[in-house]
Amino acid sequence: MKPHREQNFYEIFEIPPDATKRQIEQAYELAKKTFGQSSLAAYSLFDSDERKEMIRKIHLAYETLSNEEKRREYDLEVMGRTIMPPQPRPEAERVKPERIQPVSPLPDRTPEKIEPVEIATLTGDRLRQIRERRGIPLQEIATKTRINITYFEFLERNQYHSLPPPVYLRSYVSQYARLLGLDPKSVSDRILSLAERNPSDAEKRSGDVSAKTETG
Amino acid sequence: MSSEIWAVGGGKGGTGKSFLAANLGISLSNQGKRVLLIDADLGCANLHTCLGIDYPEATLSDLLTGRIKRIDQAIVPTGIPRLGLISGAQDILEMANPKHAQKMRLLRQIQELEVEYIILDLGAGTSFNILDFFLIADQGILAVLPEPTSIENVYRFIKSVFYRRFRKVAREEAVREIIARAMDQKNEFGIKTPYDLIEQVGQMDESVGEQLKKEMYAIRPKLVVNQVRSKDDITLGFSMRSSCTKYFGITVEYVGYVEYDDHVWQASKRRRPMLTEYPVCNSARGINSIATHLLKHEQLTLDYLVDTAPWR
Repeated sequence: MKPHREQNFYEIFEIPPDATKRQIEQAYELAKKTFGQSSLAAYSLFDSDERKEMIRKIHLAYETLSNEEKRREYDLEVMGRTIMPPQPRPEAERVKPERIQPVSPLPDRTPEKIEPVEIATLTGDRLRQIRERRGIPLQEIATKTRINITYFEFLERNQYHSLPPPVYLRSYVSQYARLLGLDPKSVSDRILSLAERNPSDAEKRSGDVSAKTETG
Repeated sequence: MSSEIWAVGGGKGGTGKSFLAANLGISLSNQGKRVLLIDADLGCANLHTCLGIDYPEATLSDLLTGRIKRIDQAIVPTGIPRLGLISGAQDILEMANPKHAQKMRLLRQIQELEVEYIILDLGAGTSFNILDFFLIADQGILAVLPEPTSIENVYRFIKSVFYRRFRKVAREEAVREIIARAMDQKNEFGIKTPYDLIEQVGQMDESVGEQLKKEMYAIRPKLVVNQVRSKDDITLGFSMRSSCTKYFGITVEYVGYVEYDDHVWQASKRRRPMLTEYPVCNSARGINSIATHLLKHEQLTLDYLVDTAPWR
């Protein structure tokens, strides 16, 4: 590492020389926040002039690295070679196998083998069993999807009549299924058909709506 | 088998050091690890309160005064499987400043304990005791709140850790003098950053300069942002990491954050650890994710901000 005054554009952004467009965008957004005048992270380490200078370099770095032509010139001139990532790679950028799963309460939990799920007989409480076997707390699903946990509780208790209208339900169930590693389309199709078919039966079976549920 | 030592520090009081230490300990024990928590806050020990147990009869204090001979005699059960506690000393006059030899003996004994993980809860401030405990740890964890005073103190803490380490490796009196003076921001040498210091020292003695550089790279503090209320608070961890890289030239790892959560406050009022009382609340998720990152030597990536973080 070297002093920030001597850093090249890649070092300023803390990205590798073969960084993708997405990495450059992210680094630029963060750098602007980090060294902006209202930043809490930088003011006690860098004085106002240093931060202004840093922001100037950050804009320059972005202008250069976000433009293919300019980036190639910069790589040749400063880095002494061309190091652009192979072009084009549209989808590859979004899927990074080495990416960590920060919100997992327990390690080695999410990517597992998925046992065959019989869609034709799938019910809400069967979904609960699958979720519990995978060790995913309901609260986690609610937090990740930003969907009210109550709906998932209704779903897992087969209280289909209490679920929101189909237009919302499809999206909610799809997101839930995805987090469980199930096929969103077939699961949501099945749940929607259940919700449509016999809401009253479900109501009778389910018991007290307001009862507290286990969420973990 | 030697145990892995984690130390939780961070300068300012009230940033959640004891909260983090206690709950990280519980999280590890939930994952099947044998863990020992040590309240190294000599003088103001209250980790036992975070765990809902009374001040134990045998503590570090008894060890330092010789009332008990071996450190394992001070271990008390916490009621949580696989998790033990050694409480700190509450008597300020007697214990807050153990002699160097006492401290070294204590550190040696800690390192010989037969558990998988030892978590040290450090006190507030940047006293030599605290810095030395932080430096012996395999993973030094810094708890910061998303507010200016806390951030300033964490930076101050990192700086103190450096200079303490530098002083230990520098034998020559003239070099030690410069290191001591460099701690003062307005020093006459114009030394502002560890870089400047290393350069200055390197001019006096090249090999010592090289050694300081090596020491600088070896310190890799882990950052935890506590009580986050917004996406900006989460981003702060990335910004602090970046600022430290540029200023100190070191690698800081952002291992996670804990959401501000009333469950913590409710558990604390009942003198119960949050993770046992509310194992699925938002802050519990944060703690578990931090523990996992530390176990796997991973940290948050910028992708997380875009793809997964709440409030996005």
